Amino acid sequence: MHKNEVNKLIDKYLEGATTPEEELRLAKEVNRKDAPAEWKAISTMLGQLALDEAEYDEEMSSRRSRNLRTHRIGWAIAASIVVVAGIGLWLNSRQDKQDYECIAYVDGKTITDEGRVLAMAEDAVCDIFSNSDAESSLYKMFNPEE
Amino acid sequence: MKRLLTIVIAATMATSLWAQQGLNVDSVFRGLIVAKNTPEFKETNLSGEVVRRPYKLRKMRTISFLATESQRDRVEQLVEADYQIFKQRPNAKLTDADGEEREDRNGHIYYIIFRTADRDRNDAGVRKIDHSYVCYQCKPKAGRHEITLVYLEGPATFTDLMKNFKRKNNKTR
Amino acid sequence: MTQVEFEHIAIELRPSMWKVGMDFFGSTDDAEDVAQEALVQLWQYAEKLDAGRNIGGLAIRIAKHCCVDMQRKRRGNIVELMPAHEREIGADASPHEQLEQTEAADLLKQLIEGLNPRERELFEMRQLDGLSNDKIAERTGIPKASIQVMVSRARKKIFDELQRKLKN
Repeated sequence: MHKNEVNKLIDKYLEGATTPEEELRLAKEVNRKDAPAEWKAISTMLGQLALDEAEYDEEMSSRRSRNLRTHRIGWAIAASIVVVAGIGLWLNSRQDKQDYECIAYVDGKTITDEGRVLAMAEDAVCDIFSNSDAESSLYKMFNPEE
Repeated sequence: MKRLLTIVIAATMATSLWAQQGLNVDSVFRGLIVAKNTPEFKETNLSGEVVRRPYKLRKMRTISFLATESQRDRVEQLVEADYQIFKQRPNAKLTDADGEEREDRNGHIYYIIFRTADRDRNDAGVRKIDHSYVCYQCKPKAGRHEITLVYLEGPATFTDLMKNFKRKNNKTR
Repeated sequence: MTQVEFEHIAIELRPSMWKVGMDFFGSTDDAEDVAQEALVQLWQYAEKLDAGRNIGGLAIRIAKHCCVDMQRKRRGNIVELMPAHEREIGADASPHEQLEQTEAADLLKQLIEGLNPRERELFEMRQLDGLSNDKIAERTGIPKASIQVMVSRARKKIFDELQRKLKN
């Protein structure tokens, strides 16, 4: 928006006549990096909520435009490609590799040795699962009120 | 904090989207109750092949740390909240994923293993369901409380977990 | 607004806040984060408002703010332990700019508190809730023309004072 247009919108804002949509547009303009200092007060008044809402709405709007374009292209491609069943299996094994994570943190140190990390994790889990029925029964025998 | 927790619990229970809710214990895993840089804080994160093959899991996350009494109380509140939310879910039907174990001592949870909400997953265009479980234990140690918290996610059922981790335990202990 | 009152409203609002997060991130985990963080922030605002005030619009705005905030942090790889509701400043500003923004925001709060109750209510319904004059007229029963006059008066008061203090 041109500086004059923004100033007109500021006047309208101060007259209490702007719509919520116009205020979102204004929030975006007065928070630009190159915005003049006299717009600072308006930026403060509109607040971070308005600015972020404007950013959110803009992001969603541009995604919708991109999705529409991608959808159209997708139909064109699908019409000329034959899908091979084996691709599914290949993607699956790729997914496992992409999802792979094996890391531990102890006293600020990072451990990536798979054996050590797995052993630590197993210890933690087994420690909980080791609360066997026998042990519980013994406890309850000596603490009957609980 | 306790009152705000009530808000979160109440809101979570009332919504029809229970199956996809996040967990309250997530804040413990993130180090928001006991910071991760405190001494004796241990954390492991595993996912993919390393846990899929032996345990039929996709994710395994463990933390253990020493807590003060008030920290223990807060963690316990969050664990209890997740336990209650899942227990009281509407239209519940028992499946092989269901199961729990719990023991309380002196009015506090000593250990608990319970199922929480399933997770949806997209596997090469096919929608799949992973079960998820939370395991918690609190033992006295050196005047404080040693807490172990575990999150497990994957196709494994409760029976699978019992078989894998109790059996493993018998081997090592 | 008391916590009990807020709790009742939160139950109804949470799903729509969750949806804002889900639409933005496409992930249930992230949507959960958005809903929880937004509820915490909503309470920060709501406890200062009158009971019976409709905060649905504000809830959605805060949820959107949380989405953008989370995305900003991820892009900047900022590990942020301070909860978002404790700051209302742009994450990409320099420390000097951040300080200025914080001071301006504090000043704004003081100026809003200095308005008369009706002006303050209308100013907040426009600024926080993002409601149009028509919607405010529907909810309050005040004629639309009067709303515009009162909103204008409140804004000009605040603007003049802010301009003066920011220049100094």
